[in-house]
Amino acid sequence: MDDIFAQIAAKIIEQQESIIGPVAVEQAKQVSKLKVDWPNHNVKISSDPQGAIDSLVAQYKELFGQIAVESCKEAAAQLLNQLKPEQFPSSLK
Amino acid sequence: MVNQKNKIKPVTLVLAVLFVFFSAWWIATFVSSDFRDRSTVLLSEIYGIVALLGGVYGIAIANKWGYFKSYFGKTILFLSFGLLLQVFGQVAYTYLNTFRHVEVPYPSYPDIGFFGSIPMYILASYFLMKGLGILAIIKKKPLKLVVGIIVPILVLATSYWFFLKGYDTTDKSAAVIFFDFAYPLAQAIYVSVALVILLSIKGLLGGLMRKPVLLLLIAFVAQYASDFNFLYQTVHETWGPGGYGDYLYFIAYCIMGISLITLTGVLSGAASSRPAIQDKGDA
Repeated sequence: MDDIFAQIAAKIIEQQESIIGPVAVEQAKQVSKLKVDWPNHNVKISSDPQGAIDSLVAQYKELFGQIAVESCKEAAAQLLNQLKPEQFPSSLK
Repeated sequence: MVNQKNKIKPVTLVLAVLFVFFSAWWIATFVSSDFRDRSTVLLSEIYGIVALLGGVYGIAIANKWGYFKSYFGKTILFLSFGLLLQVFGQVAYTYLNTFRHVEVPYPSYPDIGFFGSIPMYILASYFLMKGLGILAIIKKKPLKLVVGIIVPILVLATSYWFFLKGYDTTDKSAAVIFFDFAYPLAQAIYVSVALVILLSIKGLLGGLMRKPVLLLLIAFVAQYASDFNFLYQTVHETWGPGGYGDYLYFIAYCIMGISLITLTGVLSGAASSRPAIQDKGDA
């Protein structure tokens, strides 16, 4: 299950990287619950997967506001289908 | 951290000095007719240094946004290329007009720069639109979709009505006819994209990027206003060096420069806000 959240985080970072470049990875590295090894496109979540995704989305929201939340939702859409609604990170509901 | 944030960047200082210098020069041309007669041509030839500054600075900062690997990197680069092409156009115009005594070099080498800048601005606005996810926003909101269709049609219709309605091709070369049509119609594209973005992001764009993105969009509109006015004054034979038309271009270049500087400021702003976000996310 944690793997899906890690994949969601990776998808969001990838999407943001296509928008703002290396800044996206720098922002993701600031989320304490994420371990980002971006040269290998590897993201690990240390604890509280939903909270980690919420922190990541908040990081990008600080840059772009609601537009960033919408693009994070778009990036995660396919992977969210694999989760039950109650497992959704609140930022992506 | 606070001191670092409040520290004025050298490029900001240079841009501010240039703004005051050229604005004072331009105002002085209204005060003294003697000064005006001696200095307007020179003024029109050298204010492009602001575009040069913006273009070079944009290329220098684009690496922080991943150059061509990100939409914002592409936006910054194409905007910078557009500014540098404008500089080329001005330098070529000055050379042909002042040193080769060609009264109106059109169409000629300056158009490589002036016309060449238009596709650069179109690409810059297009990648900004992609980066902000405007197409997805428009698809979800029918009203914004209608706006997205109506705005470009209105801008194109206005350009056609002002510059091309009843256009007479008599005694005009194919190149002149091409540029007479291509300038207003191509310029309408980038301003349409900018206006669609502006109208679509209302209530959605926030955060640290709000200010630089809005400045970028205002810069596109200011550039279009300058181009529109240039064509209008040219058609009505009221264009003169160092006039208000040149000052409009100068303002457009300044806004583009400020938007690029503000974009760089976002990076330090993001860095300084990190601990707060982390706390919020972890709470």
